[in-house]
Amino acid sequence: MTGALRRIIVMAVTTIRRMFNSPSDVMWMLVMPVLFSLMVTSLFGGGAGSMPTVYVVNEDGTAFARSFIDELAAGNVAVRELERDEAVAALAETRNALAIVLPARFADAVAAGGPTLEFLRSGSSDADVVLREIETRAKTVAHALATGETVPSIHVVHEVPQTGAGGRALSNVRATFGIYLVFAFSALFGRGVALHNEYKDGTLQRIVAGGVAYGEVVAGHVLTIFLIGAVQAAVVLTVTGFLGTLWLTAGWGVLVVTLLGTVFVASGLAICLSGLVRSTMLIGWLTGGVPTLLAMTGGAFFPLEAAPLALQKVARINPVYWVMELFEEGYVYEGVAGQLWPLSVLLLIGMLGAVIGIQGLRRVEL
Amino acid sequence: MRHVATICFHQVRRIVFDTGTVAWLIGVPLALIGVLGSSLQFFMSSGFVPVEPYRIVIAEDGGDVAAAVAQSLHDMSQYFGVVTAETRDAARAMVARREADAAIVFSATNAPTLSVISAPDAIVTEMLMPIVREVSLHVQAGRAKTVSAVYTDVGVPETSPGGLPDWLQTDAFSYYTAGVMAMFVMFAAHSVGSNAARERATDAYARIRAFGVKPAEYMVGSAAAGIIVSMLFIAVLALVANVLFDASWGGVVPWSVLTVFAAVAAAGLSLVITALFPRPDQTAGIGTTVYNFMAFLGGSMVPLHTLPVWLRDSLEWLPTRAVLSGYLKVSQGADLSSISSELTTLGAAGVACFALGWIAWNRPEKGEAR
Repeated sequence: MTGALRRIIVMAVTTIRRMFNSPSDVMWMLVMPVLFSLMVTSLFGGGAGSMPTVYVVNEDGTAFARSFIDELAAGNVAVRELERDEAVAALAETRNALAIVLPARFADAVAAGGPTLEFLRSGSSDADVVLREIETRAKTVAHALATGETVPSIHVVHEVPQTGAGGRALSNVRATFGIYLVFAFSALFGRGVALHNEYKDGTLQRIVAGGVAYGEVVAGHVLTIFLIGAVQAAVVLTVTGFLGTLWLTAGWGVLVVTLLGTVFVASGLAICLSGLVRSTMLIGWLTGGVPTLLAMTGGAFFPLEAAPLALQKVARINPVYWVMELFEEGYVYEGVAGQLWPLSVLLLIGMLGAVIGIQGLRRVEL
Repeated sequence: MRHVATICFHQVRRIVFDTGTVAWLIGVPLALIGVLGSSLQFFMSSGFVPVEPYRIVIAEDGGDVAAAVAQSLHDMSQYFGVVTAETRDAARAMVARREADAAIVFSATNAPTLSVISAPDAIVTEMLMPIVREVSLHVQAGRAKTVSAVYTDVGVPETSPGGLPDWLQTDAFSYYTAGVMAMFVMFAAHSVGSNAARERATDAYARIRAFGVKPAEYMVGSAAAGIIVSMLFIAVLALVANVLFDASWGGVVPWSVLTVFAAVAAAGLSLVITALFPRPDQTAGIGTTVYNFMAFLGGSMVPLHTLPVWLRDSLEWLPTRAVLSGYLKVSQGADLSSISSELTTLGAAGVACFALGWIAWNRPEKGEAR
């Protein structure tokens, strides 16, 4: 290993070690993304949700009525037997509920092959597709009792084109990735100011006076930014993965390419910012606001198709748009093969940012 | 009193004449309102129409169920354009190649399944799923033809727990003007707190103290500056949002009272953070963390419409949430009595935070004269 390379690595590793000794840096870079993604996925994603409740008013009381109730309860619903008055009162207090009345002589109607069910509905029940599914299930159960023939239930599912897996799991991966993305951009943008802080504190001048070439210091700075991005990605994805985010649902290749593109472009932009902006405070403000804005206008948090056409077109110059394309192509559409185009765009943006930034850093006066 | 006024004036002037801070406190919120207001209208109204109809491919081997779905979609040509593929695999491949936005395939196995194949969270998915479920219900109900149904509607009070309150029934621009204001008023107040922390960490505070200023006077002066900056921020943003986004703000009296309460709560919270975490990097970092969480849970970023009802109802005590709901209510013509719960929340938060901040700030530091 040459002396220059060793010095660059030592500077980068020392900076990273110091950073991870700072509780506020660790909080902002590692803990916050995990907390936010946990919050988002627990609130909006996953799980089957609460089981809908159906109240049954059994005014018949026969074995046929009992069979109906048992068969209904075998489905994905919570059945509670109540008197009619109680059911009406319960409907007024409970959201997501429906009451089914088995009228007197229900058994006779079943035996005659034409049963009637009475449904007690609140004003909003008709608009609730889950309640209508219960209603349909109740009818098919009664039909089966009357005729002996079973009407098969049709399951409606959502699938992802690339993997065929359920959409809900990937929805969680996407939401977590969006949050990681914002924190990755924030963390790396924030690191962009490090070199200027060293200049302000006088340590940069002392390092150069000690015989280290300025180019090596810049190289160390650039390497630090990229390594921080890599470490942050590794930690956040590992922790969220253990907590249930299915990062590997499309395979290792897709995950690695997605992270490579993300960390590279974020590092390149951070170096660009570092070269163009001298003010610590301004970089602080940019770090706080720009990643969130980029994420919102790039489709990381909500689908861009809902935005006005002009915003959709402008999004194509937004790096986050291409990061999300990289993610979508890999996880949703064609896998690694589909990721080549967005990856190329991101590498180009990252490279351009790094070149501009390094040129800018050459102007730092010692 | 003169000390307090001087410190307050100095802190306000530093914020007002700092172009970076003003750009952050006005430029970023306006950009957020513009982006969120124009993009998230979909969540707040049923009037969304895509720029071009979504391309839906239906597999021909899906039998009568798929045909029923195709018929339903044909009737909505404004939203969907339907093409067919010979097999399920061909339909799926078209979506994977992005030649279609979604595919609908039916598999008649032991467990008959109707699958929508599309990107998760895409609007086309959100639109198709209920339609497909609806069609599947019709098919099943049609097969259970021996059963008759009688429907009895029972009255449910308008204030049922699941209902969307009136003040939330608004457009995306109005919602996010109030929401972003609720979020950034915290940052506005905290810009003063961050300055105070910086002064405390440097010789500036020591020099001020050397002139006989007590810690409590410095704290009160800074807190008053936080309140004034917060009120200035709200007033300027309200004015600009009115010009740019046609945001309406309701009556002057309830708006003014709410603004004062919001500013006091924001300044109080900033005081607590500044007093408990006096190192400048901690003050800024922890403040940003806390405010981001509060904004997220208070509905400033994610529309309250999309939060689970239990969560929406259980977070009414958050100051950000009280500011948001307060301004939305006022913009819809609410008077003071209608926003009393918000004023109570903000007032209580302000009193509690100032009490806690006072105690924390006035803890004597090692070797410090009182």
